[in-house]
Amino acid sequence: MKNETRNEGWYGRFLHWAGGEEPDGPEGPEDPERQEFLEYLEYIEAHGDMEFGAYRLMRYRERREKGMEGAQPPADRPAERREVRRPARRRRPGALRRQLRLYRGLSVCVIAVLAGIFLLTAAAMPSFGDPEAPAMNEVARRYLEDGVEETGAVNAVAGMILEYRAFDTFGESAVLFAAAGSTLLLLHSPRLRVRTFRGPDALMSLLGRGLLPAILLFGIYVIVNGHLSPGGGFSGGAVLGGGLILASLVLGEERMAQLLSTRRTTRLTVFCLLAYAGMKGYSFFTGANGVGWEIPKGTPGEILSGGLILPLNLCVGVIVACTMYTFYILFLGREE
Amino acid sequence: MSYNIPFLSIMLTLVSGILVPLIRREGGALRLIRGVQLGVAGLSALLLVRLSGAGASFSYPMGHIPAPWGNELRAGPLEALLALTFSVVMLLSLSGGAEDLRRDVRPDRQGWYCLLMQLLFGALLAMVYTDDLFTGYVFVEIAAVTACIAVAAKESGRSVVAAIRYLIFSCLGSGLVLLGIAMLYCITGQLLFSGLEEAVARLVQSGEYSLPLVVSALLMTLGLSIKSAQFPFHAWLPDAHASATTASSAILSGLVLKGYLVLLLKLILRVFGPALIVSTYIDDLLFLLGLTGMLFASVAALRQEEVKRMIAYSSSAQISYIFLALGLGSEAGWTAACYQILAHAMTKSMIFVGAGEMIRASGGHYWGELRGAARLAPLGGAAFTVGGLSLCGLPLLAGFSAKYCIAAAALDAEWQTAPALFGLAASSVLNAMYYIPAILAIWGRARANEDAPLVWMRGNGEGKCAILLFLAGNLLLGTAFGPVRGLIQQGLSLF
Repeated sequence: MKNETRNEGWYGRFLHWAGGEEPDGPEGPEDPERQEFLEYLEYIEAHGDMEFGAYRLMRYRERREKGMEGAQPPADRPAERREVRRPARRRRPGALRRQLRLYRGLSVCVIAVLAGIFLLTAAAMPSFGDPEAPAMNEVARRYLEDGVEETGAVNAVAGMILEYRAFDTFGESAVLFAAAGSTLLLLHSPRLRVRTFRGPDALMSLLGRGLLPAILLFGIYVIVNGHLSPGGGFSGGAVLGGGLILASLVLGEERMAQLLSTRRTTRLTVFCLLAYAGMKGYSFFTGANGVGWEIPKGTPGEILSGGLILPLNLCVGVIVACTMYTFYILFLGREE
Repeated sequence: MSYNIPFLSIMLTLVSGILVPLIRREGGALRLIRGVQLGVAGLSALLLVRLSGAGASFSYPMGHIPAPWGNELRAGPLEALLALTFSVVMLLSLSGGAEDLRRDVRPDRQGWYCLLMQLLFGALLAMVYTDDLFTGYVFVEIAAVTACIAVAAKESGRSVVAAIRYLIFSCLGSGLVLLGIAMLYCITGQLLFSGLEEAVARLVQSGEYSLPLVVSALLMTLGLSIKSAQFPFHAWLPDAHASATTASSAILSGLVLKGYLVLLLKLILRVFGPALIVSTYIDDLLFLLGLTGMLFASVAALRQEEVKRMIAYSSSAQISYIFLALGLGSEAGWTAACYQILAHAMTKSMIFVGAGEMIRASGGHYWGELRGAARLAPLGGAAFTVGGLSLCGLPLLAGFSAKYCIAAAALDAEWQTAPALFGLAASSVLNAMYYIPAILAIWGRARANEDAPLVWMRGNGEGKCAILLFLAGNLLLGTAFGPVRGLIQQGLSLF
C-alpha cells in the first residue's frame, strides 16, 4: 500500500494529501525515538522520576546484556500490520475524517482567494512613500512641522504617542498589563513553596557579568532619552526587560527572586500605570475643559523638556520591562 | 459636569481595575469594582437624562490638542444608553455570578479575575464612547485578552481548550480588523470617524481607490463578525460560553459580543455611510449572514444536551437578529439592531445567571440532572423561564419588543421583507422548541425532590437581588417600548 502511494507521482500524492491522508501512512512515519520516549513516560510513571538520558543508558545496558544491541526488529512485521489496519481506518465512516478533508480543501481555496484579493488590493493602493498619497495630509504634517513646538519633544514619535495620542498609548499599556495579569492568573501559584531554582549558569555568568550593566544602562538611556532621540518607553523597556532576563541567568534565579519577585514587579507595574493615568488624566481633563495649567514644555533638546513625556516614557518603560520579565519567569515555571 | 462623564467613566473604571492588586482584604476587589460599576451606571443615567433632554451630542478632546491630531471621545443619547445598559448588566452579572465565582476560581486568583473584568468593562465603555477608529482597535485588543482569560479562569481542562480556541478566533478577527484599518488609513489618511466619513465620501465620489475601500470594509465587517460569533464563524462560542464560570458566560454573551457590534454599527453609520454599504452589497451580506445564522444556530441549539451550550447557541442565533436588522439598511433597521443589542444584553445575561443558580443547586450541567432543578433554586428557575419566554417572543418582555421592532423595520424593506419575516417566525418557533421543553423540565418533579417545598429566599442575597433586578430590567425593556425606541432614534439621529 505504502509503495503504491510512492509510485503514483506527485499529483496522486497531492490528491491523497488533499484528501487528508498522511504521506507515510495513517500512523505517520515510524519514529523509534518517539516510541522510546513513550516507553520512558510509562516507566517514570511506574518507577518514579528519572532523567531521560539515564533511562536511555539503562535501556542500552539492558539490551547489551541480552546481546540485542544492533539487532533490528524484523522489517516486514510493522509494514504487514499497517497494511491490515489501514483499509479498516479508511472504511470507517468517521465524521472527523470527512471534516478534515473538507477543511483542507476549503482552507486551500480560502487562502488562494484571499491572497488574490490582497495582491489586487495592494496593487491598487497608493505606493509606499508617495508624496501625493492620501496619508500625507494635514494630520501627518502637523505632527512633523509643529510637533517640536507643541510637545517640546525633539523625537516626533515620542511626541505623537505620548502627547497627541496619549490615550491610545494608555490603552496599549493597559493591554500589556492585562496580558501580564492573565499570565499571572493562569500560571502564578503562591502556595507552591517548594521550588527548584536554577543557579547561575557558569558560561552565561562569565560572559554576562560584563554585558549586563551595559545592557541595563543602555535600556535606561533609551527610555530617559526617548524624547530627544529615537527610542522611548516601548523600545527601551524591551531592552531593559531583556537585561532583566539576562540578569536572571547571570545572577541565578534565587537571587533575582529576592531582588525582583513577581509581587514586586506587579506593584511596580501598578504604580507606573497609576502614575500614567494620573498624569494623563490631569492633562486630558485640563485640556478638554480648557482650564489652562499646562505643564511647561521647557527648551526642546534639553533633557528636562517635553512636559510630561519624560515621566510617561519612564512609566511605559517600566511597564514593558516588568511585563517581559514576568512572562519569562512565569513561563519558566520557577517563580519566587 | 455631564460634559466630563464619558472621560470620568472610562478613567474611573480603568484606574479602579489597576488598583485591584493593591487590595489585600478578601472580597475587597469584587466590592471595589462593583462599586465603581454602580457609580458608572449612575453617571451614565445622568448623562442620558441630560443629553436626551437637551437633544444634543458632544465631542470630548482627550488632551490639549484638537481632534484629528489628538484622541477624541463622543457622547450622545445612544452612547449614554448603551453605557448605562452595559454597566448595569456588568454589575448584575458579577453579582449574580459571585457565588459561582468563589467556587470556580481559586481564592488567590479572584483578585486578578476582578481586575481583568474591570479592564474588560473599561474597554467596552471606551468602544462605546470612542470617536477614533484606532482607539477602538486598542480597546478591542484589551477586550480580546481579558475575555479569553474570563473563559480560562475556571481552569477545568475544557475551559482551557475553549479559551485557546477562542484566543485563536479572536486574534484572527482582530487581525482582519487591523488589516482593514491599515488599508483605510492608507487611502484616507484619517482615523477620526468624522474625518474618515468625509474622506470616504470624497473617494466614493471620485471613484478613486474603490477596490481597497471595499476590501477594507469587508475585512472589518468580517473581523467583527468573527469576534461577535456570527453564524459561520461561531465555532468558538459554544465551548467558551459553556465551560466558563457563570459571571464570565453572562458577561461574554451579554456584553463582549455587543461591544464589537457597537463598533460595527459605528463603522457602518459613521465611516462608510449607508450609501456605500448598499452599493457594495455589504448590507445584503449582513442580511444573509443573519438569516442563515438565526436558523442554523437555533437548529444546533435544539440538539444540545447541556444547558449552557444550548444557551450559547441561542446567543449566536440572537446575534444573527442584530445582523439581520443591520442588513435591512434603513433607519428603522438600525433602531431595531440597537434595541436587540439592549434586549439581548439584558436577557441572555439573566438566563446565564439563572442557569448558574440551577446548576449550583442541582449539581449537573445536563438536562437529565437538571430535571426539577428550578424547584431547588426557584429564582434561578424564574430567571431562566422569563428569559426563555422573552427570547421566544412573549409580549411584555424585552425579546418581544426587539422582535417587533425588527419585524416593523422589515416591513419597509425592499426584497428583504418576506425572508426577514420568515426568518423571524421560524426562529421564534425554533426558540420555543428548545426553551419550552427546557422550562417544563426544570419545573417538573424529579424523584429526588418530589416533596421538596419551593424555598424562594435561600442562599446568598446578592444573587437573588441581581436576578430580581434582571427581571425588572427585562420587564422595563419590554413594556417601555415607546420611550426606549424614542431614545434610540434620537441617539441615532445625533450619532
